This record gives sequence, structure tokens and C-alpha cells, in this order.
Amino acid sequence: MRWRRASRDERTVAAIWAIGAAAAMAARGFAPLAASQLPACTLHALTGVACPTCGSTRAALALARGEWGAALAANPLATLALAGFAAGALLVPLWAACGAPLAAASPLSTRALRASIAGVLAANWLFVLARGL
Amino acid sequence: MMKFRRTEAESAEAPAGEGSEPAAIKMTASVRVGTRAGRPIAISLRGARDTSISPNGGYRRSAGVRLLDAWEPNAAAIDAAPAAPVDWSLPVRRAHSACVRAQARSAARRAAIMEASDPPVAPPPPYVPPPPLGDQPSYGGVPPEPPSGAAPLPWEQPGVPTLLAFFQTFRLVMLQPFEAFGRVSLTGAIWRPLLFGTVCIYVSAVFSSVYEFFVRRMMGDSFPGWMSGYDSGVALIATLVAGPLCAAVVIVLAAAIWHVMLLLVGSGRSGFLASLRAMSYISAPALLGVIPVCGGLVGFVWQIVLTVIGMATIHRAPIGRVILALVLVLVVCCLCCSFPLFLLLKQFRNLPF
Repeated sequence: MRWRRASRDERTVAAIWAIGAAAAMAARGFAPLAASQLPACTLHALTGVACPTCGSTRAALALARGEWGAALAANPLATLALAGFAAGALLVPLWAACGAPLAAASPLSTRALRASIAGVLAANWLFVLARGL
Repeated sequence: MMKFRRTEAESAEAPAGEGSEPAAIKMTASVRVGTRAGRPIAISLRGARDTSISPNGGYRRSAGVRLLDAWEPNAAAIDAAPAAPVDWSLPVRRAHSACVRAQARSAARRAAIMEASDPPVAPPPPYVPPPPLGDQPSYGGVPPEPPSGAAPLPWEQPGVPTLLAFFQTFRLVMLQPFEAFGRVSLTGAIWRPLLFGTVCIYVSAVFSSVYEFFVRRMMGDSFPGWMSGYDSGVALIATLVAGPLCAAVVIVLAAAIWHVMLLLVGSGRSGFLASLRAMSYISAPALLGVIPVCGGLVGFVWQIVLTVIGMATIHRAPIGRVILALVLVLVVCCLCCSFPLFLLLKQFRNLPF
């Protein structure tokens, strides 16, 4: 694992991340209204089988209400991704502004990362299927 | 690891002779950077076929030409002159173009030698692609340039009128995507491509909201199921106010999802910022949404095609891997978002033909 400083472009992305997350937090009162406009899952409607992202809307709504348990039960990966999105919006711009180092992927870490991503996605889908959402 | 070094003389590497393989692939180019304090500043570069240069750790370029050495004949004069910012990316780009031209001349000369000689001269070895990103040294996280000596996109060229640059870039991305994504600069400021994509999505969203507002006004509450109970006036205002931010965030999130999937299939070597640049220009077909009824659907289909072309070009990944990443994106993210498509298919199924 190598470390490097954040570039100007990465700081720009961090700023967009922070602004987007702040806007999402500010507008979380509209989440039920927005969720009611979303279509249902086609895969679930056609086959009865939950897709990997089934339960994400419920997880987001539960998070907006502060109900962590319900959010994790609906879709753990979506919950963690949303929480990471919100937490990263605070931490990443500060981290980049302080000139703190970022990790640069090495071949080993990329392979490990690849395996981790595949494993996490599969585990989440199995959980959603097992829950029968 | 090739370093962009400043020396008083050429490197110790022996000059290549005619007829040998190095003679065919090595070349020298001298590029004038500009003037400072009345003195011309020039850098000389010597390259070989294939890959990676790194001027002062600030830039890296993987291309058809590898820079062997770079030096400044009048380095002492430059150091004595008052300091001024120099955009090193420009001379390096021009030097690279010169090296590519020299390589073409060398190849033509070699072909002529091969024709004239008996027995024929052995052909040059095949092009060896640069090693994966992880095997290369890191220079500040800046991804490699695409192997093109062409000018950057009009949208990224300073001095071009904004509206003209926008429409030229739009036309290029829509009609000549391979060339367009080959010309995307990987070292320019990220806000430029992001602004391009944001404008495309925002204009399309505003037009769609206006159309929907008037259609709902005309049709009243005759929309079925989940499409009813929707206040198009509020949606229009929300689009107008929050549209630009939402568009930018959507591009960043889409790029993040795509980049994760590209990593999953063993691609994405140019880094996340390259994916973000590609995703910004891939948003161009969204502008077709200003055409009522069919514009959005046509734009969506073309956007999928452009995504494959753009990601493959900018990451120099095999098309098959990018298509695999597309399938993963569809499986992971879009299965539950394809309800409108399902409705459309259902409508077609009910048609008499």
C-alpha cells in the first residue's frame, strides 16, 4: 500500500460529495414523498426473487428516521453505503484539506479489493434472499 | 522507472544505429516551451516505442512512445531567469506528438529498407502494451494519458467560445465516440467535464419536467397506478432549484458504481477520476431528452453504447470486460430500476402485431 496526497481534482470531488450529502441530509424530510414515486423492483415483480438492491429504499427511509436496526435488516450493504456516504462527506473533505495522505492501490490490494467487493455483494444478496424481502 | 530529468548533456545511452532494432524505434524531438526573460526555453526529448514518462513526478503518460531522456540545453539560463509558472503538460504533449511523428517516419524508413533488402529484414516485434497500473510507479495519482497525440476536446481547450465548444464536443461525443474519448484530457481540471455532463443532464431534466407539467395539466388525473398522485409543479420547481447539484452528484455516484464494477472485472487502470471524466461525457446523450416522447429512450440506449466505448477507451480496457462490467451494473443496480422498461414491453405485448 502506497500513500500519496490528494490532487486538486480529488479535492473537487470531495467537495461535491460533501455538498451532495449535506443537501441529502437537509432534504431527508422529503424522502417518503420521493420514495413513493419510485417504481417497484422488476425482478421481484416478475419472478418473486429479490434483486441485490431490494430493500434499499426501505433502508434509506429507515435511516432518515434514525432506525438503524430496521435499515440493516432491510439491506445491510445499502445501509452501510448510505452511512459511508454521509460519514465520508464529513471526513473526506477535511482529510483532503489537511493534506493527509490517501491510499494508492497496489496490484495486491487491487486483487484483494476485487475479491472483497465480489464477496460483499454476494453475501448481501444471500442475506436479502434469505430474509425473503 | 523513467524520470523526467534535467541534465546538461545527453544521457549515457549510446545512440542507436541504422538497421538495428533500436534504430528503428528510437527518436529525438526538440520542443520549444516558450520564452522567459527574452530567452527561448526548449526541452529535448528522446523516446522509444511504448510507454511511460513522468516529468517531475507531476505527469505520467502511457502511450505509443516511451520517453528515454529529457534535457534542457540552456538549463542554466532558465534557472537564472526569474521564476514563472510553466505548464509542463503542454510541451510534453507536443513532444509526444513529435515523437509519434518521428516513429512513423522511422517505420516508413524501415519498410523501405525491408523492401530493398534481400533477404527481407525481420519485422519489428509486436507492440507490447504498458504494464498494469499497479506495476507502474505512482506519480501523484494522475492517470496515464490516452495514446493520442491529437488535441484535447474543444470543451477542454482554453480560448474556444463556450457555446461553440459545448456543441462541438457534444457532436464529437455523439457521432465519433472513439475519437472523442481518445481526446479526453486526463490531466485537465475535473470541473470542466463535470460541468459538461451537468449541463446535459440539467437541460434534459428541465425540458422533461416542463413537458410533464403541461401533459399532466392537459390529461388531469387520468394517469394509472404509481404515476398518479404526483405533483408535477413541485417536481418542476425542485428540478429547477436542485437540478444542477443533483446532476453533478448523480454523475459522481454513477462513476463510482461503474468504477467499482470495472475494478471487479480487473479493469479501471486509469483511476476513478478517469471514470468520472468518461461518465461526464457519457451524459451527453441525456440532452436528447429535450426531444419529446422518444428522445429520452433513444438517449438512454445511446448512453449505454457510449458507456462501453468511453470506459473501454479511457481505461484502455478490452470491450468484453467493459460489457461484463455493464452486465454487473445492470444486475446490481438496475434490475429494480427497470420498471418503466417493463411497462413499455408490456404495452408492446398488448399491441395487435
